[in-house]
Amino acid sequence: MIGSALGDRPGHGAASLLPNMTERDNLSAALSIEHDDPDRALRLAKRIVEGTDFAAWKGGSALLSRLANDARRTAKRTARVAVVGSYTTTQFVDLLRLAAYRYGIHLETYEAGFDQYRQEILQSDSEMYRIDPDVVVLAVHDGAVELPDRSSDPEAEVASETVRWTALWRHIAESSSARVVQHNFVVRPDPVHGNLAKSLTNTRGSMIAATNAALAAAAGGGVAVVDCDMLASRIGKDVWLDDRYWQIAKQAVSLGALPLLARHTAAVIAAQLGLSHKVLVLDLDNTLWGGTIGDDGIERLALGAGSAAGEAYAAFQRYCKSLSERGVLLAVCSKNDPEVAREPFRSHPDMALSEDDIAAFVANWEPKPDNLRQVAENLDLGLDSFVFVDDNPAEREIVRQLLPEVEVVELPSDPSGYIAAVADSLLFEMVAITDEDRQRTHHYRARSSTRGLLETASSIEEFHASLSMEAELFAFDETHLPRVVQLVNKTNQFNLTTRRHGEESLRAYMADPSTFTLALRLRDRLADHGLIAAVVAVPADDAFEIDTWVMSCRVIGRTVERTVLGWLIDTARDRGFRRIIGRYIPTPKNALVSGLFGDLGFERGPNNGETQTWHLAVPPSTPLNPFIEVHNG
Amino acid sequence: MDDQADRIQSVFRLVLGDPALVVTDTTTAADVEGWDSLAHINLMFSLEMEFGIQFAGNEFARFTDVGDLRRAIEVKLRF
Repeated sequence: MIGSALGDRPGHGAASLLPNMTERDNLSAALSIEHDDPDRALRLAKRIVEGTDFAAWKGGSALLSRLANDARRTAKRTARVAVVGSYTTTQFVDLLRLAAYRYGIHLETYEAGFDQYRQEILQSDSEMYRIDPDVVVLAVHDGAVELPDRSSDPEAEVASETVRWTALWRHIAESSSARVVQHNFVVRPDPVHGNLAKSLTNTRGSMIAATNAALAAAAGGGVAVVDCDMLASRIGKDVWLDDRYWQIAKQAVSLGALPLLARHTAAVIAAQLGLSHKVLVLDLDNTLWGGTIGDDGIERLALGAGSAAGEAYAAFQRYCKSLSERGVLLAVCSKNDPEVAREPFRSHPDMALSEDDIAAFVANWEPKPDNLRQVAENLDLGLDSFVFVDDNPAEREIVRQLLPEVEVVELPSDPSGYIAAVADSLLFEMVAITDEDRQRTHHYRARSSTRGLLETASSIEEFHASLSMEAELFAFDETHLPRVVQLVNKTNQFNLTTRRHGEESLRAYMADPSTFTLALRLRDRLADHGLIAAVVAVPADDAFEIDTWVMSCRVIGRTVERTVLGWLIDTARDRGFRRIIGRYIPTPKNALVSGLFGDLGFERGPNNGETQTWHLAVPPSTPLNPFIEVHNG
Repeated sequence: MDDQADRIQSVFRLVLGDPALVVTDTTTAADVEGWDSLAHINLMFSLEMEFGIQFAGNEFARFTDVGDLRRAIEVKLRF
């Protein structure tokens, strides 16, 4: 019986690599139901990714291959990933498939030959480009760095090595629409200079560190770096750099470190593909503070200085607050009396979180899955962007079972491990931070206030009028490009065609005089919503075709679409187009806009496969949207 | 089957992805589907982790069959 054979033996390896019995238990359980319940087997296999047990990962990866059809069906999306490297990457690719599935991606992979990364990238007709990859992973190691052991001009050496890599990135951007994930380089212990090495700028190690810094600064815009030097430090450089494996098998990253590398690479790919999570849902009792507010009262909660647990809960709160400051929305979901649950937020001196930090606050005695659905509805966000944190295993289990799309973090029993549990899940990995991210909680809170208004206004028209909305309309420009890129790549619901244009192709649209771009900023008397809509329209014979139209969910139900329609009609008429063509390409996420063109007066044409085509004859005068005052920028 | 052989077998099953695999002292790489040079590295690494031992670089390719491997592990465990 495989279950007992795998499950009952503690390992005896190096401490950081000790096989975690839960991982092997999950694998055994997955293997035992592989044929009867493949979906559940795959959910169990995902949990192997929480740990770093290489053998369990291999087992999980093999299971995933056997259940490839089920994996494709249950993943959020499929992505083609090319791995080009400087060492034997077969093992890495194998583990990357499992890690990517854990982050919702079914991978179709192409692995270049050993140390073929330059050839694959530089030859525009190479096999890698032929698969039209969504992402190219540069799985390279410090041995691939072309720096000398010592240099008389280290700055020039670093500059030229940096350019060598950024030129490869540029080549990928010019030859494909792929995003790039670059592994950076581990700085080895310096056996010659010892502790002095860090003081010398002209050693290979110092130059590699400088190259890492330069590459991190040059990344962005479709290129993301996985910080291998940091990962190696965490797991131990002696573990990561096991030279025996390089000498025997040209395995530059030791097998014990590969799971960590695969997990981080997959999380970065997920972030690049817009699959990052947006909402952190927190329980209260024994999650944000020690004790039960309803039973213990404010005075007896463990929070803040005075006890180890109190310190740990306060640290976890500060961590959650920092996440919210970089754009993660916080929600509270607690089984408590609503007024009692808010008491610590109002009067406990050691609360790092205030009610203002919480975008949605639900405290009642209803089942948590119901409450999570309610929170999702209030925030207008999909449950698949939710991460649920609760110290109670029973609550975690019921959410796992009833809402499988919600990510549930496995919290340890000791609150000092809470931060690591959330951070190591890598569910909030991001590839850039914009000003919009920093202000998101404010936007969503303002949105909640507008919900309040909606209840007092007697008609939807009165509500819209009461908001005093103003829109600024302008073409894409360099200043707003990062936000446009983010909007085009992260928006799933209000997205007519779900075409994910990267920074370079959006820049190409900006430069093309026959293409029209629209960025729209919305303000009302409660909040500045920032840049919330982006449109790309291109000529198609005598018609004006909407290639891309995305809007943030924050402003759905605000009549912004009517303002956009006005712009489309004005622009089409100015350029002498007779018709506007809109296309709706259905995805599992964008049912919200399936009726949009019909609502705006377009006529349905024939389908092209699943794609719906809609036409609008350009009218002689443009219908006005009375609720939004337009300023043209 | 004794303890060491049992643990070796479970590592083989896990790493080669075959829950029904049976290995004995006389099993060689040629007898097992999927036991290629790449899988061999995976097996050696996973055995190192399982038993908390290290093989020297020149030992990796030396073992003629599973029994040979088992005896080498037992020697390492004793010292």
